[in-house]
Amino acid sequence: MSSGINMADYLDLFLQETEEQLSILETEIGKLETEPTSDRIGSIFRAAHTIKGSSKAMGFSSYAELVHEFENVLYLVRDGVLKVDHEIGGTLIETVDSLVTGKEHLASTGEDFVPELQLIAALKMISSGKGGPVESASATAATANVWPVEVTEALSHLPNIDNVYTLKVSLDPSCGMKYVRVFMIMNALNGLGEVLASNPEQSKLEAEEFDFDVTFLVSLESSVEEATETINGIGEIAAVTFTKFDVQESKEASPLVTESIESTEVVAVADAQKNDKPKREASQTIRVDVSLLDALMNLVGELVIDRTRLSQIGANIAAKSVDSENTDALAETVGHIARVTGELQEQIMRARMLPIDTVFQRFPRMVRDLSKKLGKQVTITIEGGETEVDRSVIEGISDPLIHMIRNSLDHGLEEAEERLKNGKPEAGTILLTAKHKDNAIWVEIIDDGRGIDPERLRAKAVEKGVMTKEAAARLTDRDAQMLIFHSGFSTAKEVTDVSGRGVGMDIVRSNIQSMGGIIDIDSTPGEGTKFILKLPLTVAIMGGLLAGVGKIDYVMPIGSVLETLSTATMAVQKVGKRPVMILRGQTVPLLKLRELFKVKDTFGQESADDYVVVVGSADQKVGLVVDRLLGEQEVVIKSISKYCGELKGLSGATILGNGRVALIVDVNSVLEFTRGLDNGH
Amino acid sequence: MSDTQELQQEVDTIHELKFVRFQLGDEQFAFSVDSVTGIIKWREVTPLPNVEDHLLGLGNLRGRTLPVTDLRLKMGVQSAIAKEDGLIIVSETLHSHVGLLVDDVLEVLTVTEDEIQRDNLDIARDLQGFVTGIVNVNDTLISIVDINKLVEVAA
Repeated sequence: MSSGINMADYLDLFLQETEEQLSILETEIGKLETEPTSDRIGSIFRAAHTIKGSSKAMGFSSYAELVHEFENVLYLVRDGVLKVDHEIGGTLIETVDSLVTGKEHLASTGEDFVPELQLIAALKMISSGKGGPVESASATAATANVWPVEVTEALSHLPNIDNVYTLKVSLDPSCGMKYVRVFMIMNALNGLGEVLASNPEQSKLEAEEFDFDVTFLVSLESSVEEATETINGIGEIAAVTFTKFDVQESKEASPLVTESIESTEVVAVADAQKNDKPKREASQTIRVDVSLLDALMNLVGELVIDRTRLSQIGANIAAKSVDSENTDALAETVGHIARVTGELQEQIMRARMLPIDTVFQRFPRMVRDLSKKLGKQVTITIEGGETEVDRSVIEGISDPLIHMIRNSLDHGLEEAEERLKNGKPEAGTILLTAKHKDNAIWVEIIDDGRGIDPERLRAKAVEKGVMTKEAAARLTDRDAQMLIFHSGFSTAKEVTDVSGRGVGMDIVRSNIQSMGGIIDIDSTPGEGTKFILKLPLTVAIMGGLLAGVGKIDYVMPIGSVLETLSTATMAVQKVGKRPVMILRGQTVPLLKLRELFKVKDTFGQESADDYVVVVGSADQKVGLVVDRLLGEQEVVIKSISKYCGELKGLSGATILGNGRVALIVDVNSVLEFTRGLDNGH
Repeated sequence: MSDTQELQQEVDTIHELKFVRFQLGDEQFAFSVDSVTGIIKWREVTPLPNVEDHLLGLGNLRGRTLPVTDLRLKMGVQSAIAKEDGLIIVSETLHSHVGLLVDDVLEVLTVTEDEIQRDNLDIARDLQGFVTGIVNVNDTLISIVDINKLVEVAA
């Protein structure tokens, strides 16, 4: 490429930025109809503006056009010419949807996205019907040959007019994609301060209707030297000149024109001034690549391991040494390192945290759209959206939650008629909650629908050949309800567009389980269904129960451990050939880890099998027989080299304080293995 | 030094290949140094369930887990050396991270491409296609093993 820009890198940057802006749009646009505050309009505006600018720079002109039409409608809203009613609100929401779809398209193909013509037409109709062509305002400004009034007005409100400079940039004549250059300059400037206006105006810049000279009006927060250096660093720039801006002079002389789009930045400045907020809150935060946080997290993981090791060594030395002065000092230092490491770990974990609202916020929209499609009345209530969870968890639960909420809407909630007949309010409700509890995150999805009918699932299981009629009849109601997690188990009477293809709940469960979470159901036929997700705080560090078999240490995820027992105090019985134990009236199969994992060597003694660790969930348990219990510990999950192939029954490994490798038991696959044995008999 | 000499030297450098030469039983083998990231002493490993015999288990290499394979078993070579007395050649390739237990590591061997016999490999024992060439150094035959092929999958 002649400009020397790596387009692929640039695309990533573009996508990243667009995604951020789109999420602002998605959050705000739905509230525009009911609460059209100027702050909200402003932030929608800025987001749209940014997307438009950068997508044009990337050459996605059709995509940019959609944003442009969207913006045109927003002008009228901002200027009070247009009121967002239900219909307009709907079109705007649709537009944002289309932009999201479009972004996916851009991301996967790298090609421009052509939006539906109808949508463009609808937007055009709204803006033309109620306000006349929008370009007129800026067009007037463009011919006026002075800074438009808005600009000087805004400038006079600026707290620090001394910081305003006129910046003249000459691009290198050999420069290939001029607007990309200009865009990079503007981006850089927005990092150093704020671009207030440009000449030529932005739309001309975007169309590359300029030679090589561009003038910007900027409010700088950095020094002129730093700014000059930064801009020169962009490359392919021939000259950079900053001159102090003079309000008076500009009124007479300068042929500058406001940035046509529309002076949003100026609006932003004025707004900020009005609200007496700090002008650039953004400067309080920086953007960090997630892989950097991941790397930090890993390094801290190593520290955590060494910390444990260090205290062990310290204790060993203290036990043997007579030099109490030094051992005391060592213990003190080790203690301090332990505290600092703990703090460090916590802070880095916090840096990776996002409020769960990041996922939740899309659901009111989704429920609104779906309920319309299904012709049902549904209200969704969200509680605990501020609960902070690790990024990795956010990523992992998004799809499962979508599936489950769709299911609740489609299968769970009845038609209005049926609801009224059963004495329920016409509108169904879905309650989505999140909270921290027991060092885990609990997410619940509760609907007041028809509940899960165990009889129907039993019948279905027999029909699908999953089990015999007798076996189905033996299932408890709860076990029967759990069948919905079986693959191919959609009970919707007919396949609908929304759900009912029989994929879904099994995938939901496997997604949740693969991140170390647990899913449970509590459903009363006729009254409703509650799905309970118990998720780990982070997927990189895990609380585990350490248990030994022979010389090998195993880690059971603490979330799956229900209780531990000593074999001395319990009665082992046999069902068929298989050992089981009776735990408070419930039959729990026993599995010797030694046999499951074919552990050969013993720990200086014959296989002890002294303890049982009961793992699983309320509805399915298995007792794992081990030699030793070594206590609870936080472990850092390490991946196992692909060289080892697929290791059934293990989900990873970790390194203990003594430097040895311990294996992490994949409770779900152990449970599956047990189920397999059941079916075999 | 004349231009011609310089040029010749450059050409030689280009064709120079470096290998880590090691002992398995009474045979000698070599890996390209490019795929070797280190050589460590034997360390305790945690055995893995249901894997082939040659995969001894996971060791701890500076806070990472390192699968260790007994190369003698993998290559079908008899050896009297106890694993505790062997050395582990650590290899990191694009897809894999693995330690290979050998009897002893001898030296870094430098040869030119010309010295490597690339055909008629069937005179070497059948080693499942891992051997890509043979070098004769002072009448000792050294089999060059493609580490990438070797570590593709354990199973």
